Amino acid sequence: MKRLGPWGLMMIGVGLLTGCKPTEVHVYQAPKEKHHPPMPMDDAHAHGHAGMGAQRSLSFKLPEGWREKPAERMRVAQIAVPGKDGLEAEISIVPLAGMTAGREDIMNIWREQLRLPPMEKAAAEAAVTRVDVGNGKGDLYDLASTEPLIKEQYKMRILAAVYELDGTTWFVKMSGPDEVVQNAREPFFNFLKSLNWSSPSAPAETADAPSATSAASTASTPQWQIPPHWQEQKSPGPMLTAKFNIKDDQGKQAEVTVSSLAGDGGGALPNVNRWRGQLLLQPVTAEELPKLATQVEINGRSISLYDMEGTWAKTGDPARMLVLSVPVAGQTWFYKLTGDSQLVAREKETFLTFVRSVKYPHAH
Amino acid sequence: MLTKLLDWLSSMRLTVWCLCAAMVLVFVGTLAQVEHGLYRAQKEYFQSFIVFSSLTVHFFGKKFILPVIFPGGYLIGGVLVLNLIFSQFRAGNIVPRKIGLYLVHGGLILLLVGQLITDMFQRETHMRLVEGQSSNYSESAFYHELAVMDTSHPDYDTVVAIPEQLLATRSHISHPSLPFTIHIRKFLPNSRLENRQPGESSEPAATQGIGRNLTMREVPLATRSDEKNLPSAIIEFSGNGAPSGTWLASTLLGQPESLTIGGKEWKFMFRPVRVYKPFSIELIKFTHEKYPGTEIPKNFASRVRVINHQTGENREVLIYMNNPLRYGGQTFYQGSYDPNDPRVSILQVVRNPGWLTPYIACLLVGLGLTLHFILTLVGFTRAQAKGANS
Repeated sequence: MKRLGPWGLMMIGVGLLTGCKPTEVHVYQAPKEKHHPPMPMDDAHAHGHAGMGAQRSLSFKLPEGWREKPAERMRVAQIAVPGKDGLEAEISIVPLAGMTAGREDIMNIWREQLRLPPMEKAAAEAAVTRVDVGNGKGDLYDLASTEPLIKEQYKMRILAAVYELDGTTWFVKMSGPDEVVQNAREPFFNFLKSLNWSSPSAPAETADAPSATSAASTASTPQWQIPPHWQEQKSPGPMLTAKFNIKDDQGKQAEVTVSSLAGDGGGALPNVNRWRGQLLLQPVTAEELPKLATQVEINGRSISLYDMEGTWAKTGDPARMLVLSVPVAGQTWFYKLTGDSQLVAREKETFLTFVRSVKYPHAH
Repeated sequence: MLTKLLDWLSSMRLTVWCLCAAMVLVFVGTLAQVEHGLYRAQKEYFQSFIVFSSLTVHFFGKKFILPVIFPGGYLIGGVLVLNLIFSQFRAGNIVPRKIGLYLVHGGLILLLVGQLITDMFQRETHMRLVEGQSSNYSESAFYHELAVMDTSHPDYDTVVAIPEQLLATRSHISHPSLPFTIHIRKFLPNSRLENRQPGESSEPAATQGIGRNLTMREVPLATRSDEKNLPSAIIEFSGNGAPSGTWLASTLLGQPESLTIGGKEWKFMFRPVRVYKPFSIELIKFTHEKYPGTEIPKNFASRVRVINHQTGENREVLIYMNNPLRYGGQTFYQGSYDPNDPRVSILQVVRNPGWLTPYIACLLVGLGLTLHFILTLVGFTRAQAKGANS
């Protein structure tokens, strides 16, 4: 014992010190924190990407024997694809706005689901092919498990198309027993071609390019004076009534979108927080909301203008967003100017003049 | 016997053995990092007295698993410290003209002891901030805790934090602050969750909460330094009218689960261990520059505001590479960024009570070498002068 004195002391000392690991229950008081509503986990949950996508605005033609099921969680459509012996594959359609994941990320999320090792970036890029989706082309992912993952008997296969449309990434994914998915390949490709994202609220496209001072052509849409340097986009995209692109001499870009919803459009708070999410900003509470609004005069009425600055999930660049929501005859019209901060600052007055110029068809 | 032991402890032979053993340990420990990962290799090889491990070696296309039993970092370092002490300060050996050497050895001892203090007491956590966000806590990168929260008070939550290690080793946990018992039905040190696939026959992870829609599976422990373990557990509550059924507690879930027990709302969440601070850090602006045309980071900087209500402090500080903020006994380094969100800055928060020891040790060694040089030079010149006179 005496001989081991210094050793023993040293070991006891170090042993005591190593006892300071987090192995005891601690009790403390912490300020309350806000938890954001959970983002439902889904096939394409893709680790915290910004926000969910647009509402369903697509149509498709179902191949014979396929049946549509009630869509769950983030899905806008869910389809059962029957196979032999009562086996079934499933197609899910999920839109995600502001997606930042690359092919490697998407591939490896699905490979992990199939219990396959991750792929390097180059291999993942090479494994992705192109496929017709609607009127455009998307990425096709085709991968199968090596182990029987379904009922411990059947290997699983994922055949999925990823399609970009106006800043929203659409995941159309068929998954299920390998044999069922393989047999449904051709119908799946036809199904992809049948997808149609036409928007019921979009103005009808005309062959003539709109002139700088022309109004929107349909009777149900308002009429407005378009500033000469704004470029109107022919297909504004889902849920949009109109879209204008602005570009300055230095290549800085912004866009103005016009959309409408029935009633109050869901209320100011969820809308503001949705817009803030598009700029990767934290949501605000009902108490904080009035502080964010400044009042502007629009045709004799005081309208709230929301001015936000953040990072545009769509481009990853710093951006500013100005939004006006104008309630008219049981509808709310949303005017949104988003883009490069300096350009938005310069365009602010033009934007307000544009909104003031709008004449609503049912307002009188 | 004691004399023999002291002779051995103060011998140069022991110094050489210790240095050789340290070299071998560093070499084998570095190889082990490839197989076991940085964190486990550090634990097994350098933060231990004896290494009991194995190393996989490929030789002529065949795989061999070699057992490794070797003195660990603590043992080699400890013996080296004793050796340094005894070699210089044994009774009868103390001579004033060797003061420089004593200082050098003192500096080396301080370096080793300082490293031990750092190893024992350094706490490294991370603070993730989005521009405009402020936080008064940082989170551990390695350790997790099951936070069970009593949310009944309107101003604050009472948190009972149960370390991951207890979940891994115990079948149930009771605590005076908890009016119920938590039973641990299953614990996975590294796990993945998945949605239940169509036609999948496997059982859902739990019978209550979000676990009803998920399956849980174990994956091998993380070995790469850019990976970390994400533990999950299946737990059950009993007593005081707790609802029956199992719940999934997973570090992969970003939200707490709620349940009512004894008429009170409780929340639980399996999350990284949190270290709360008596002040807040607010991220005002994060600048993230890359070399043009590449993804190689050039410069990161976080302009933050330190808000301390106790002292009334409210000031802006710029944290950038090699220019950390030292505040409240902690150092806030510009740690990392979120590749998916350019507004996110990740600060590395280090509390190291031994951070000054390497500086003091280097000063002592420098001073000792200078003194030793001067004293030797003076002695030499005197001897020369004496020789010339005689």
